Amino acid sequence: MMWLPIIGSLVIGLIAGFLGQRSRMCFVGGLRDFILIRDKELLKGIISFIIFTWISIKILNLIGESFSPMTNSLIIEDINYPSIVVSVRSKFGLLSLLGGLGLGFFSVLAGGCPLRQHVMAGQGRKDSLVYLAGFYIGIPIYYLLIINVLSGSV
Amino acid sequence: MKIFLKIDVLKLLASPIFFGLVLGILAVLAQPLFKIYPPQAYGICTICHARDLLNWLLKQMFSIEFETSLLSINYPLLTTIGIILGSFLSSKKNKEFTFIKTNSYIKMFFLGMGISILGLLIISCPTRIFLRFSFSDPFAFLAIIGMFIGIYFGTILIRTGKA
Repeated sequence: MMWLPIIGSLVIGLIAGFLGQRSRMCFVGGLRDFILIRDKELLKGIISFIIFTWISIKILNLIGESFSPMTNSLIIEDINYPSIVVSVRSKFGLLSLLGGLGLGFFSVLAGGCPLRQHVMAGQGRKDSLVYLAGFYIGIPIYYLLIINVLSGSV
Repeated sequence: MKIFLKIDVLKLLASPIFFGLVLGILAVLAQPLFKIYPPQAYGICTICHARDLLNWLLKQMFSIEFETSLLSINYPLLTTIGIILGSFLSSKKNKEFTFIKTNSYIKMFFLGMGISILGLLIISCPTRIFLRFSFSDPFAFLAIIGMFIGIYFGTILIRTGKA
């Protein structure tokens, strides 16, 4: 039971890496390619990701409700998210907007979203390996420095 | 007949739509099946799982702890390692593995650092933003709008040749 998330995440990662290397899938590249060269291939991938996650959430909830005692654990519990108006006014809404803006902008400059950079690092791209070094050094920097500055001022 | 079938499979593996299908289903199934649960919509995320892995490692080695998801207190999540390994195996199998040298190491280092900090601010990488969006999280919707604006400006910068 305890090993389940470890093995599960490894399996998901392996499949994501394998298919990501084959398809050159990138969650930032979809819109970038569309604006630059009108290539819709990656955009289709993003749309299919959204559609199939949505469909599988609905199907899982249906199955979970119809076979309640045995497969009750299949139900994905709904969290009561705030409405869109409330979330626009809240602080995390503004943060999400600005954070997303920065993520999109810098990811385009780096040439791919973090998933794509992991895939390219596995493929032997040295600049992606350097990117990953910065990526992992950024995590302790955020938790040791930036989070204190934010909680102090906000 | 056999050759046609083989080509079809290769084409299918290389299509982003197939990636979306498989990873979309897996990312949702991760929650009930693999119990990657405490935060909602956590099936696949590069930045959060990298943080959980790093947090677990630092805790084991130096007993330093960050503020992470409940899930990762006792065990690491190996998604990022899996992605690198899977892409390595795939590129070896297809003889696409090559070390490519570039000149932009310093730029890439700071881009990576900036992206991980921004990603931790909104607790999601671009992949998880779309995952959260299908879980009907309004904050992910705002993040997608912001991301599209950011991508638009970044692409303009690339097109004019300044980056």
